[in-house]
Amino acid sequence: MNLRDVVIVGIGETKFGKHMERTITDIGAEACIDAIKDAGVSHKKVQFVTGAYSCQWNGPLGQYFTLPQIILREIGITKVPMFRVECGCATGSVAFRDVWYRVASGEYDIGLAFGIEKMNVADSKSILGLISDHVPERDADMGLTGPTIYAMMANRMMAQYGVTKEQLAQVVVKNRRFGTKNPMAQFPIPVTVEEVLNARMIADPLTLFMCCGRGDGAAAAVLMDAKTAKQYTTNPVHIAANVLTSGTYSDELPFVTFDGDVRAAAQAYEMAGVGPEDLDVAEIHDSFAPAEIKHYEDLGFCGRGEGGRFVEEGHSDMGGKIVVNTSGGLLSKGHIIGATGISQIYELVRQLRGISGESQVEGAKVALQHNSGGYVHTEFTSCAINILKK
Amino acid sequence: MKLMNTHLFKETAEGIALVGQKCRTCGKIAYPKKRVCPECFGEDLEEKTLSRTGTLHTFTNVVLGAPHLKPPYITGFVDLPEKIRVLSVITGCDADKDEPRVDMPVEIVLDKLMQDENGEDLYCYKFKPLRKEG
Repeated sequence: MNLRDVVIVGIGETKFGKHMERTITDIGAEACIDAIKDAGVSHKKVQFVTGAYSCQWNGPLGQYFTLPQIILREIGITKVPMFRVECGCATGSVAFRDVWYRVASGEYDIGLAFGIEKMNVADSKSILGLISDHVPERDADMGLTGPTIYAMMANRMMAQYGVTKEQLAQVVVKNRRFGTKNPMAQFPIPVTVEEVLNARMIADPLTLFMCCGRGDGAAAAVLMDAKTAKQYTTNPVHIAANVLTSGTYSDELPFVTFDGDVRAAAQAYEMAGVGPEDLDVAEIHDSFAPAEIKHYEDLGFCGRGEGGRFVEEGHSDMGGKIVVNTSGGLLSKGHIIGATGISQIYELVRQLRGISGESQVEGAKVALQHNSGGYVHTEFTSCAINILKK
Repeated sequence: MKLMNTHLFKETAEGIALVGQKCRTCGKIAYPKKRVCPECFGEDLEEKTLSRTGTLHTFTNVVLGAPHLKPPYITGFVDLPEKIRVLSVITGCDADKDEPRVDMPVEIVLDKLMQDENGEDLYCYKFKPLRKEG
């Protein structure tokens, strides 16, 4: 199939944090209004919407049935097809992919993708039953939590490649420094290597600051085919590659890599006709500090086993080879499950438009977004990658 | 003794062992048992008792973790010779013997894992360091 050139015309995002006094509907409406205003398109021109939310934390309170329709009714978008998707932590990217594909295929010309989560509402203990109940190995019974996955990876990286705790801390220091420049970030407070290493231990070697927080928030994007977009913008951001895959769940690969990320990256580079050496800036899934080091390697930013040195030598910092997580990453923003993927795209669109302020990467032209989602047996269940071009 | 997750292991003459499946068509060993062979989709499957010893691929000492386990506890991946990787609680480690450590030999053991809603102990598999005699 010949796919059309699809561009991002509008982006919107709420502040990430605790929004106890607001409904999820109100938070979602804010991000969607922002994206539609940014696109400069009438809300009545939006031909379809895909909304993303995971709702893992909210099981006991209900699943927010038909949330996209209810949010969009509030802002006058009615009488069009609407979809909801869920894909764990990659949920937002899957909504984005759905809109991309429906525009690329010619089904529609103008679509809206949004991602949202309100995690500060429910009893978080409920998540454990939800994780374990459908996993045949019953991982949660065996003590698995989010941090334990990457703590196990960190210990293997340290034994196999000599990654150090200081290198893990340097990921946090870099991202939290970028986070201080992002007004949407939940934790815009700089930290030092010593503060990271001396913070409360969660799962050895991961301390509290090496783990992302959770929160409430939303992000949205308006996509159009490139021809339609000419009516609305002179500064479009092109989606040069969009890839989604699921895990391999290998029993044999060393637990320092996710095969799905390696496969998805190869597909994305081929689709975009670029390589990692062409990237100026990237938002990658730093849910936990060792994840960012692993991703450098899986995404080809550096060689196998060189991820620790990549951060230590500043290659992912401002002025480096590929500047990573200028938004502050999940470690600064908090991981607002459904919103994260589109929030990563929000930052990269700002970079490619040249409006990222103090975190602007000079002359950024090519950007990569990477979002991991879900987990079962040695690997994330989903990997989504977008390569964006000016 | 009240057992939990009994679909994952069984008693043998040597003690408990994890139970998977072997495909009679393509030979693929999988764990836990499934409806089909995930490799060839074949349905001609036989039960496969997995080795009771393996190596600890990696681990973490968990301070803030699952609420049903008393902290700190150790969780890790155990690699069995059948090329099956299993997530397990790791027990019986001695810090003076540099335990746990990556790639150390381990063996399966039946142990208390958690309690049910009535406070009764539930037993499940765990792995512990495999030490040479003496």
